[in-house]
Amino acid sequence: MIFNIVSGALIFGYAGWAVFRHIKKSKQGKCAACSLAKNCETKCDSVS
Amino acid sequence: MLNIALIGNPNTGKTSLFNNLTGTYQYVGNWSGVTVEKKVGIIKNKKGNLIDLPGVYSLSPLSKDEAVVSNFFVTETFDGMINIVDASQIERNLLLTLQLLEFEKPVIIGLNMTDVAKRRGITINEQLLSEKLGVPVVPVIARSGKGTATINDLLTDDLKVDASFTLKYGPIIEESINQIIHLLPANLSIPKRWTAIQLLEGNAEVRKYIRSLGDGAGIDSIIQATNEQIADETAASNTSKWIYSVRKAFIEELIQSSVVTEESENKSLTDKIDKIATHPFLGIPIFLATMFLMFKLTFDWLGIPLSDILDGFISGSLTTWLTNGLNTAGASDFIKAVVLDGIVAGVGGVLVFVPQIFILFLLISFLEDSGYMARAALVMDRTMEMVGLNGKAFIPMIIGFGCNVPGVMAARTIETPRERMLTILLTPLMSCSARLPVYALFVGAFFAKYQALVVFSLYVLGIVVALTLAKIFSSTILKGEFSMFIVELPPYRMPQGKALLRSTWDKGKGFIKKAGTFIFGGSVLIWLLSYSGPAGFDVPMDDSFLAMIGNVLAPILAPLGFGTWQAGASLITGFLAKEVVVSAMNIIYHVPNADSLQGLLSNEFSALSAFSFMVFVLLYVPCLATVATIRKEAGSVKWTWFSVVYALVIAYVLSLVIYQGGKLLGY
Amino acid sequence: MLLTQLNKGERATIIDLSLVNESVRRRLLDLGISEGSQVCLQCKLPFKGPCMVENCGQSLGIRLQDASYIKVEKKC
Repeated sequence: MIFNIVSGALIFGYAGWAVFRHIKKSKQGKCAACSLAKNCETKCDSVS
Repeated sequence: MLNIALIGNPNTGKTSLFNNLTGTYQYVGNWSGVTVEKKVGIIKNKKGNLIDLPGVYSLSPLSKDEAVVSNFFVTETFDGMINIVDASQIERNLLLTLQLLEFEKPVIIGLNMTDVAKRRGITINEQLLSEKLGVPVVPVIARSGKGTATINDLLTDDLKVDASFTLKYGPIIEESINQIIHLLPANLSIPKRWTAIQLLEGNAEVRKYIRSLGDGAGIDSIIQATNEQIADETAASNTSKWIYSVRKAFIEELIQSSVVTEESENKSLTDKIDKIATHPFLGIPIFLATMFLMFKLTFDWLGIPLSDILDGFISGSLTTWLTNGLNTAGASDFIKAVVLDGIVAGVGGVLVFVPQIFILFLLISFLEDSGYMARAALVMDRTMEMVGLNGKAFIPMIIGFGCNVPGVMAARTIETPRERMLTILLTPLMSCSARLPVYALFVGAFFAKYQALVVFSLYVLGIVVALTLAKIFSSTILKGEFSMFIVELPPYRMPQGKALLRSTWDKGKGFIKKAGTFIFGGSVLIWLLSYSGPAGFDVPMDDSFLAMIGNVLAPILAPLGFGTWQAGASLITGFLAKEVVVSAMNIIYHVPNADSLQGLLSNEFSALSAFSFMVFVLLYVPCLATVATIRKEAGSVKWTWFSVVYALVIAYVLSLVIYQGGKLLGY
Repeated sequence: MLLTQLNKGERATIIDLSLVNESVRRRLLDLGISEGSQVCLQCKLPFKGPCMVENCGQSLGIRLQDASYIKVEKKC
């Protein structure tokens, strides 16, 4: 029973987080954190 | 911490040197414009950051990626520069070097490709060059990393500033420089003499920056007056030409004293290959044949057998282990269902296609690294010109085969804004690797004998649609006369195994990462939607929430040959990432592996409707990440919406034509 | 004569770039091609396609139309 609750929570928790993060990142069109970002128009990385 | 900028002409090996100096890995290719945005890495000796900038010929920008560099110079603070110079093209490389030296920051020159230069009969006396310019000159071989240790040692906290370098531009210009310096704000963060010279040369980015600091009218009138004076009193017709000729004369003198050139007239391998690759009539057929061979390898010869093995493992051993494990742990039916019907089906269904995707990436990397890309651009230019684009637009499109996001970004190298916008809008029609699993699934089920051919036809269809639309757009909404095309054709080189594998991995790792994160999450959610319905949990799938969502679309899709809620639901999820279409189908059809899904699909689709479905997936909308990138690169919400809407319309119309037309023809 | 009038493989010196479009000329200057540069016409693609020009061991592709504004003098 405990196994079911823990694994269920893990699976759905991770899934929700992964989807949320993907959508957030995609909306920015790639990586957001960059140390010299003042005039960076596209946020660094050109390769996904 | 030091901030060191890495600057040089395009395709001189900056990114290779960057990788060697920082020990990280960035994408390298053999054409101009691989790097379109600056990238930052930590130097191996931990003394500071290294900033890799796009390649430029001069600090006055013509295209968008070059503007990134000019903008960097005026707005960022950095402590020094490494200027990488291509020894075999030293004359024009030094034109940029002079502008860098004028910036009054420490410069280290990395002399690359001395081996290529030697083969051409050019020997450079680094010692003498170093003395004349007053900066260290270090011979390097960027690809292998030779000489990088010396550069590393030179990057110390007390980088020497040698401000002694000044090139005099003659009385007229010097007078104007002095006048401009007086008008510049006293607290200007960039060197005044450099600023004045760049302004006189007509550097638009610097001018924009100075204007943003205050009224530039006084400076503008000096520039204007200087231009007239130069035209009247010298042989040059304007200031920038005059400055260019002064620099050129200086460089010629420099080269006379420190470079030995012998005539060598031996035909290089490049010339021989070019005889065939850019052959007047064989050029385009060779390009198409190369592409076809790529798909033949990816599907028929290598990819499918490997995929089958992987598929066997996932649906066989792995599923058995998981089932046993879950049973032992005492998992409930719900947990078993989410793991086996959701995760294994969804993620596994996509992972099965990893071999195909990596093989395709390996082949694309090979083409990129060899120097063929620029030739492809050359061969395609005439065709592209007819539709209102130029050959350079072809490179972003080929990059788009890997992933549309970098493809859209690569459009920056295109000089004219109109052509750049067109390229941004049309690159998403290139079939990216995320769409590959969808094709692989369907061709496996319906076109087993002609897999490579069918997939190849889809890729070609994407290109044809893009070119047709380019013609339509450029003669209606994006009109404009001016178009330009000049492309550097780098010498061919044999791609190195290690670099090839790295760049393949670099392109492909995103796919695997996505499988572990987003595809995983998406699969769980899709499964949940298919498992639950208005009546509660564990409902028959036809009564699930997912079916309800899919049913909204089904009637609209019916004329295209796939009016089922299953198709509708998977297409909606595909907007987030196109691989998810396959995950969704795997989950919906309740089968743990692609093999049996292919069997089930043949009940739902016919060969014709399957093809119609693939065409729809190819064209329908760019994925979310691409849409976001378009929004950024185009800088316009209107155009972004346009890119989404036109794609949907085209996809619908073409699929309709294919399905209804095919039915009429009796398929 | 014009650059486009050269035969394949012929060498010539550029004498006038002033008729060339401003941006194209800027790019040519960037690539180190100015009045006085030695060039060799490597090949012309069919259907009025671009041509390949070599200068100092560097090949580049340029449109026929742009090339037809470049005045050259054949080396004897």
